[in-house]
Amino acid sequence: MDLTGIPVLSLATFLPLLGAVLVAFIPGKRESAIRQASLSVSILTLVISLPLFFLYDATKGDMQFNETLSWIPALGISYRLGIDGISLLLLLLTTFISPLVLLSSYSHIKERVKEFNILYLLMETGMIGVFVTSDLFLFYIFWELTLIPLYFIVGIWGGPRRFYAAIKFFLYTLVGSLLMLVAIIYLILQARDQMGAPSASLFAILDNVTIPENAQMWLFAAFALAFAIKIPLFPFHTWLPDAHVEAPTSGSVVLAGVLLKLGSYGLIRFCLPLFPWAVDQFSPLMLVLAAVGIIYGAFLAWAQEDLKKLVAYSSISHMGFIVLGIFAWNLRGVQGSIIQSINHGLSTGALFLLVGMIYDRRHVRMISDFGGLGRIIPWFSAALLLVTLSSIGLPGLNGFVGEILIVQGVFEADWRFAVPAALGILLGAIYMLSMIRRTLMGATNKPENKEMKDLNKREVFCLLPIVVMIFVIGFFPGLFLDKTKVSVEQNVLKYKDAIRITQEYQQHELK
Amino acid sequence: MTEGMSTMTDFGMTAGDLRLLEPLLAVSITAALVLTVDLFRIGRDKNFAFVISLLGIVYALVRNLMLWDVEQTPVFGGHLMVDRLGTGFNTIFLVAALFAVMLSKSYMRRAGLFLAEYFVLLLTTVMGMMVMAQAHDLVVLFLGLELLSIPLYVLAAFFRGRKQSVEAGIKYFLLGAFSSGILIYGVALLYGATGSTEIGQIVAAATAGAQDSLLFKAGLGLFIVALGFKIAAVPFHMWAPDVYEGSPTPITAFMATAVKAAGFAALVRMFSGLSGVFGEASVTSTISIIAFATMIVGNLGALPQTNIKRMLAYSSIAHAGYILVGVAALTVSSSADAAEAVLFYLLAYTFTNLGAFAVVVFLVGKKGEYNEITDFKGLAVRNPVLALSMAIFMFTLTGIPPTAGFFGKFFLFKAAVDVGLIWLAVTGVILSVVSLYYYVRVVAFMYLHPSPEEDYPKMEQCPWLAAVSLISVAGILILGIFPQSLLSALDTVF
Repeated sequence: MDLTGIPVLSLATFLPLLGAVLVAFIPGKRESAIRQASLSVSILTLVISLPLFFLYDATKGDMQFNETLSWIPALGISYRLGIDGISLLLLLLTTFISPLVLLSSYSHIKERVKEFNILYLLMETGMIGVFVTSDLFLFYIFWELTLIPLYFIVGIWGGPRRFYAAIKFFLYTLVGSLLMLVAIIYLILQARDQMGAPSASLFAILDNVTIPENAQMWLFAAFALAFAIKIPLFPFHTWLPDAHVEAPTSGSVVLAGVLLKLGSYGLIRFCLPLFPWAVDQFSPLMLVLAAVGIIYGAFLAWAQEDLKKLVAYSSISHMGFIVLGIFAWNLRGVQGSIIQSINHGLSTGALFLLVGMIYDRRHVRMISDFGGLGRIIPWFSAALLLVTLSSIGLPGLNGFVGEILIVQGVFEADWRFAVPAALGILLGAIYMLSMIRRTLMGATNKPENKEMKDLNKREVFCLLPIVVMIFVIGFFPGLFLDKTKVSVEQNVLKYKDAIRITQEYQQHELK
Repeated sequence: MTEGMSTMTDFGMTAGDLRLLEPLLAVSITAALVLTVDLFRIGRDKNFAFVISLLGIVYALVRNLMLWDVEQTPVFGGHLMVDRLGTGFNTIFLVAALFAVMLSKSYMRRAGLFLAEYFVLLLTTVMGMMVMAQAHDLVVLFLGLELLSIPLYVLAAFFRGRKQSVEAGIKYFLLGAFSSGILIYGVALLYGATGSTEIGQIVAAATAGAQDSLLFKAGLGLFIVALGFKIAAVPFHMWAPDVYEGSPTPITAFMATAVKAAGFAALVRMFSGLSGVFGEASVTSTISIIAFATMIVGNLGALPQTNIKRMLAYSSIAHAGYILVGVAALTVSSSADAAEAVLFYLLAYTFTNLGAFAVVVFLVGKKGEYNEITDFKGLAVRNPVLALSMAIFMFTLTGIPPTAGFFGKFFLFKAAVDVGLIWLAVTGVILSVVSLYYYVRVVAFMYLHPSPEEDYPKMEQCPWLAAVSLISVAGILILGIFPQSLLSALDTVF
């Protein structure tokens, strides 16, 4: 199939927005119509984006399906879309998770259904946009576009401390992203000074602009701060537990499933290639923060009594792995981080779905409130067990692939950091399995729990696609890794070699 | 004295001059017309004043936009300059005035002070602004400032029965009188240093070496201080919150946008000529420090406010700070970007602020005025369209894309980064995060809180109010999605 002339990426990006406009015209009382409409739109988006997986030429690894339209020529800002192997996988993660989030919202979004669906579809446009653009400025716009919807989703449909959690999330993320905006402005002006015309195109800047070393430090700091807050990297993580705990299930799922990945994607796409010299300087620091995050998050997760908090803190630990792999700064590490971003999206997304499902039934989520669920609701328990095993990296499931690659990559880069990584895997197994033991096994201590019903058809539809993907990635990791290999080498690691050459050159000069 | 005489004889006025000043004349004639018609309609309804003012302003706006192609034409012997800078600023004044008139109809009726004088005063202020933006001579500039200020003192105190309003009027008058005095003193010093009050000649003399004299620096300093009062820059901002709170809401909206714009018009005109003249950058650092302090005080001051008018007053101080960042950049290099950014920002801000005040005017009920932020509770449920507009205004004030406010800030900070004032841009963005807190609180009350059971404000039924907020929303989104449309028009300005 030839796709020339069909703006697939634009379609995928703006279809949800179009859907949001459409939903706005459905009267608010017709809730099921609203739900069906937005679910159909998100499924259609998935259908549109899915062929890209097969059509993308991974042997080339460059930006493909490109679209360019001039937007603000005075500043070299264009509407530039295009994906490489890295963005491809994250784009598909987004379009894959979105219908599941909307489907899961049926059970707990009962009020102001219309607003929820509009906000979610808006956010989907923002998330897809972040992954498909190669223009720095457009990236920033899409990045910001995801903030407002999540603010409302947490603030309107969240738990008791929702106001606090929502504004905290908004303030934290905005600090980082606005400083990134200043850095983007600087890059555009550098491009103007060095190329003769301003440009916000990532690849134009990468290939034509030399960024002075002291400027690289500041620019890296500005970009990395924005991404570190989003990921969130220790010590910028404090907004996450609040946001996760207060958010409704669907908010948590999309937060863990996609939004945190905006940060890791940003590090790979922008920080590593644009500022190799600064990465070289900062990577020990980033590795230490990531390692601390892994251990710290794991211990906090271990101590939690609240299931949702447990999953939230485990997220911090797992995202630490991803950062560790990124700053290992080699093929295995970065590839591992990308695949782990997908895995974490799937498994943590599923964990939040499952926690939401028992919360819907019992309206409590303390571990001590449950026990012996395995006998009462076997299908639910099987799903929880499987997702847990995927999350702790059981061989044969998806989590294993990412973790092993990251550990290998880190070992290659600096073996000392493989120690906290291994320890983190161990701790992960401990707290996750002890959660399983206390909820699924043992005696049924609470009479209320005996009345619980097992998964219904809708819930099965929410979980089944994720379960299938857990196995597919686990058994056939090559399918996905092949997509990213050339792109990582060519769009990320190539620029690392550039500084090595300069450094050798400088040493040569000194001699 | 002989020089003064010779300037008088230069005052050549031709028919061509009058054509170029048609927008200004249209506003003057409208004011006179309203006043005259009022004489024959004593004791009757004053709707005619509203209609005539509206038509007059629209006419002036249209004629003004038709003058867009006129470049650098001195009129009245060089006292006034018709150019795109002036035309651009006039557009802002006229849009703001148009919106203010539209807001006033229901608001002033409700207050029982729907008088023709009100509109006459408003129109006179606009005249003063237009003179100020086009003045190419500091004495004419002073004339414009007075023409702007005196009716505004009256307007601030227009609710003569209300203590707050009278307080606002007196406060504004006292500080305004000071600033006028300071301005004229500064002009005198500049005249002493350069031998002229004409801006072109001042610039020429400064370039020739006068910029280093103490007299010149002192004169310019006083000039900045006087205009600092008008734009409510720190430390000359003390009057703003009280005056904004006490004045009739449409006048508050008008003051926060158009009056500020007039002050900036004078600053931009002066500094786009003088930019780069100062080797030691003393002027740049002065304005940078004022901008820094203004952003900080405005944003931190807005944080604890519970009254929406006071919140918007402090926020307008903060926004003056952002715009001053652009002025600071302008003093470094005369590149068009900084002046363009200032104009873009002011236009975006005019739409936003008048729209936001329109929403405030919308809320009516037993209590009279609903100016507390808590009065917005549950508005999203009762009136989704109005709440959505208000949310858009709040997000554009914060500077979140894709809105006009975002691009305004983006262009300003870009201008600052371009001339090396990165620290100022960084301060600006960090304070924008602070501002998110108080802007989003309004949104939170509208969307996150349930509507109170009773004693919530009703909606004013006035198509003019709805028009203001809808036009503002449209303007904000159009400028936010297609900024290039205005940018390429502005590109030709400088």
